[in-house]
Amino acid sequence: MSDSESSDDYDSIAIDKNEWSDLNPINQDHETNEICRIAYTENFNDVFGYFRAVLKANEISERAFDLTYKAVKLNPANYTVWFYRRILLKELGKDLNHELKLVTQIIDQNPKNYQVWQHRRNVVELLQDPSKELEFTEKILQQDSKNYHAWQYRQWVNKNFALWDQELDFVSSLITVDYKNNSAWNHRFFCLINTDHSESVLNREVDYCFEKLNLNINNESVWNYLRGLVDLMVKEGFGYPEKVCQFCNLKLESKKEDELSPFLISFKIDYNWTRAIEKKNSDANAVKEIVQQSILYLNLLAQKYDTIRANYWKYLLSKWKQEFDQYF
Amino acid sequence: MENLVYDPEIIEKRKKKLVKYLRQILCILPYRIISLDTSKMLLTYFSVSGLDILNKLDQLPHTNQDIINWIYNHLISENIRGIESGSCGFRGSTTLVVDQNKNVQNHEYDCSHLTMTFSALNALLTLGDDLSRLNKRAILKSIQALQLPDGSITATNQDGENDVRFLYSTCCVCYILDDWSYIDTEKAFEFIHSCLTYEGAFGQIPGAEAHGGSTFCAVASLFLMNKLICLSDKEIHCLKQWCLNRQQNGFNGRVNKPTDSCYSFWIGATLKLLDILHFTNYDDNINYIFETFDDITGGFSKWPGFSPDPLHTYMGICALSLVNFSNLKKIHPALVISEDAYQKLKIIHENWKN
Repeated sequence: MSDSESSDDYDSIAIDKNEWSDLNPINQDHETNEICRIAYTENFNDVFGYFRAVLKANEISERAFDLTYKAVKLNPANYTVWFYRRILLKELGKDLNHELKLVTQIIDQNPKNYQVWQHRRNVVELLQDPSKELEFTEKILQQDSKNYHAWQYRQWVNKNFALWDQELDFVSSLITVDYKNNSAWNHRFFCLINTDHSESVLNREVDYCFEKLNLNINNESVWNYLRGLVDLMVKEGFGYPEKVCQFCNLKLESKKEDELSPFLISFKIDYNWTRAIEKKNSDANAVKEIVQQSILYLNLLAQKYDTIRANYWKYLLSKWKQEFDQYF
Repeated sequence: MENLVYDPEIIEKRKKKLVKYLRQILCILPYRIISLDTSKMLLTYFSVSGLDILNKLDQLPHTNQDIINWIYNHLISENIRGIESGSCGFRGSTTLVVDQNKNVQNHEYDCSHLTMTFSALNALLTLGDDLSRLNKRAILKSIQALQLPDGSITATNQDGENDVRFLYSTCCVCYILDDWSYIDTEKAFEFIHSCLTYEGAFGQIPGAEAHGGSTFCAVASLFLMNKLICLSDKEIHCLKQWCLNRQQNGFNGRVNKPTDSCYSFWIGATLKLLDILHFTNYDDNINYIFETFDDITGGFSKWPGFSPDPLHTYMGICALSLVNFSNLKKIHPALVISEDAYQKLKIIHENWKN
């Protein structure tokens, strides 16, 4: 018995050879096993020895079904075992709700494994019953609020079953707990795109960003989200929200060092570039002012606020010089 | 205080330990990595290519030919499964092989895996194989069967996920086999493009959070398909800034997450493909990578003090190569093999044309 198996687990995955007396287990091809050999346990060899025999015989039976459970407990990443189990689920008319309970357990123990989430999706698709899914992903996210699989799965549930009502509250509560939870911000944007993103909603979202930035100006998640909002507002024809300019300018004019953040500064620089290009041939004075300000900000980033990317900010400076040569 | 990371004696000691770690992968592995049982081909690629980049390919624990034969033993040929089954390519291991007779159909559930096919090809190239034992058409026709209407690709014909990782494996395979006619590259571009998030980088599927690994897969795929130019100036600008912003000392893979040594590669290679790696701070990056070096086992881990694993070890080596550390071989930042292996591929391509 290896270290990794408790005595409870071991009983559930041990093979009862009497049950299998009519079938010979098939050993793994040893001749070619010299490279990347894994020190398999005896139990692993037993379980997979019989599973190979089951595959060869294409056996559809209860004992084969139980065997797939043992196999996925030993290696939940073996996608063929899961695939075969799904065939058995259908052929044997197994209780899918029971299967859901089982996969819940396995995901709990292996929350970052691709195959178990895929299997859950397949089962829920067959059941056409999403009623437990949001609660389940919430539970997994309580253990790890950034679990990529859980978020991806939740998004599938939202879209596939059109379950959107809880999402804004859910995401807001996570952001309240940790306003730097980028996965929550991403989910917020996902929900926005797939539901109401009218002008009033987007304006409300901008205010939400300001609220979070007032808590911590240096939160990259919020700046990215804000830029996403602004791009969306422009794309939808609502125009660039003036209050975003005002907010940025207010923060930038602040003399307090902790009121300046490299994300704030680069946000303004990006905005300036768009404005300067727009006004290039129509308003020389405005462009001159924008260019001077951008040079100042780029130097601030390179020398003080974001020195690790100094080479990049200096490069951007050269791009500004190139484009707006006459204003230097 | 002198930075010991650049001390030649220390570098030599560490290289020796890395070589030992990589050699061990090709020999025997502990049971606790059982979740990699179906990915042995990937581990073989990491080990072989890792040694190559370290200029220590002469220290393989088996002969090149033995490893090459082992790799080909995992090929599912068109004699065993039909070429439209989506199965022709390489298996990750022989765990589910029931018959040692290579010309007999194994069983209905014997299938190849795109990432293992990609790994096999990379390992074969590195070992100097000329790929002449392959039926290119069978492999490519199989991949064709795996492409979905939205342009994405599944790794196997067994109901698996269809995210940007497998589009990447596919693009590598098509590039290596020098034939893009079996996949719809327009649709592939559309799928990749739909993975762009409001943050400016790529998630694994549409809607998913921008992530360093998916961003590499997306950008490398576009690079190999010659479709990076299909992104707009603004998209490229935001993508570049998102990637550059991943550097803290090492790199993180998502906004506001801790650094992890593998992102020194995923993001590093992406920045290289976007031609802006030189805007990062090489010293901080190198220092972080070595903070994750385990002096006892000789591998790299995701975080300082964590246990090393083959993936982080290989990614660490590749990341160091990208920033010209020591005299590591240069790598092809999209295919992720040494320049030497890449040159061998070019020769193979020439031979195929004639």
